[in-house]
Amino acid sequence: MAEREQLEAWLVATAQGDEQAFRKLYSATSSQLYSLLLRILRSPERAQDALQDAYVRIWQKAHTYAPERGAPLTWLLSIARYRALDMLRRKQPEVAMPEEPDRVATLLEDEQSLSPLEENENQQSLSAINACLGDLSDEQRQCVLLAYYEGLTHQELAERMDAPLGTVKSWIRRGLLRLRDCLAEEAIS
Amino acid sequence: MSDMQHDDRDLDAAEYVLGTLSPEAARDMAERMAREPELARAVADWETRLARFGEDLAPVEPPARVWQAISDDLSMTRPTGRGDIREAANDSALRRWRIAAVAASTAAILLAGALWLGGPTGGPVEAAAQPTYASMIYDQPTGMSWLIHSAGQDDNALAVEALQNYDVPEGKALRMYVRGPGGEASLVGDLPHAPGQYTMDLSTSARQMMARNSEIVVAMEDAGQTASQPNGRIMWVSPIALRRS
Repeated sequence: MAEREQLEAWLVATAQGDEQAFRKLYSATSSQLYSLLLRILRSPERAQDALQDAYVRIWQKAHTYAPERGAPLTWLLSIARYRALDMLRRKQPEVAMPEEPDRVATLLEDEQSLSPLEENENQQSLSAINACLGDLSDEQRQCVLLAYYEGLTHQELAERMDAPLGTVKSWIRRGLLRLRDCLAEEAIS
Repeated sequence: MSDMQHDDRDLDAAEYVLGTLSPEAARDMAERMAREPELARAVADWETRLARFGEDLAPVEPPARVWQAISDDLSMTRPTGRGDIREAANDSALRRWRIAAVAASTAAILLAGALWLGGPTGGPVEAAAQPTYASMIYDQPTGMSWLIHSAGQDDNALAVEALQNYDVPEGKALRMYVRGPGGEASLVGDLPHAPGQYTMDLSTSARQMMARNSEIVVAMEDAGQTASQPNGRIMWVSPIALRRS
């Protein structure tokens, strides 16, 4: 993955209509966005549609990127993920995907072994998020991960977790608070 | 603000980013973000926190055809352009739409401007008592156009004029939405595609959205499905011009 400064430079150039810079931005980041879209949409075809949509939007909206609001990759991933959530909310898959009961556990295992970490700063960040996930209760962690990686709503989470809606909402909110506070502590230490 | 209120706002932001809010709550959040910078900041902070999950995944190279499709789109849109259009890459019934799919062109903007000013005669027009809106959808390859503007002073409806016939595949519908600056959208209804003048009702949320920096979005969707936000292929995006009395 390119350095943050390089991604920012490509984004600035993209905002000015530089197709070469946009191509470089795509080459440097599309595999990360595509990986996330595959996780959320669970269909290569839909993930590719979403990826296309996301980059067309990035091309058009590059001028709205504000470095002070976050890293370029954060912005790109957010655009892609919102697009994926939008697709999930508006249409159920025409062919139901097989259930994967241990998906969250698999995700957690994957997170330990995936991601060739190319930047020390990024390594620290990833370690922090994994360490903080361990700070959550099992239910809180599952809810947060299922919502992030599969785009489940409160109701869908309640069904998947076989728990009352109010309980699920509480798990999520407490889990998020704990995650926020843990990440803040990690940043300080 | 108390710690509890701060936490509530922060958690609202977190759930907005996580995607667990209902569509209505998400729309409310998008509107609040426009007028509450601290909330927008909280959302950005949560995007940064949660993006780490996405950064943590092993990269997967997308097929080369995805870039080719994006590249095709770039030839028809500019970063500062007001719209884009995409074609279904894998749906043969819609394949021709890739060629036909074009953003609202400069001509469209000019025509919308003419509509805005009261027509090509350029004579003075009486300002309406309420905000009025104008937009235009223009499909460059076919020349198909829709003129869209306020239907009345109460702005509870839109007047839509389809200038030609536009073929829509069986089982599909051209669905029109108003989309706000935060990406939130409100369904207006099925866009007529036979020549004629029509009136389309505007919901309260759509009307409120139009008063801000919003745009018309038309998507090709399954006729039997309705949703409050675009789900199918976005065919055209066109800005909404606003005039205040």
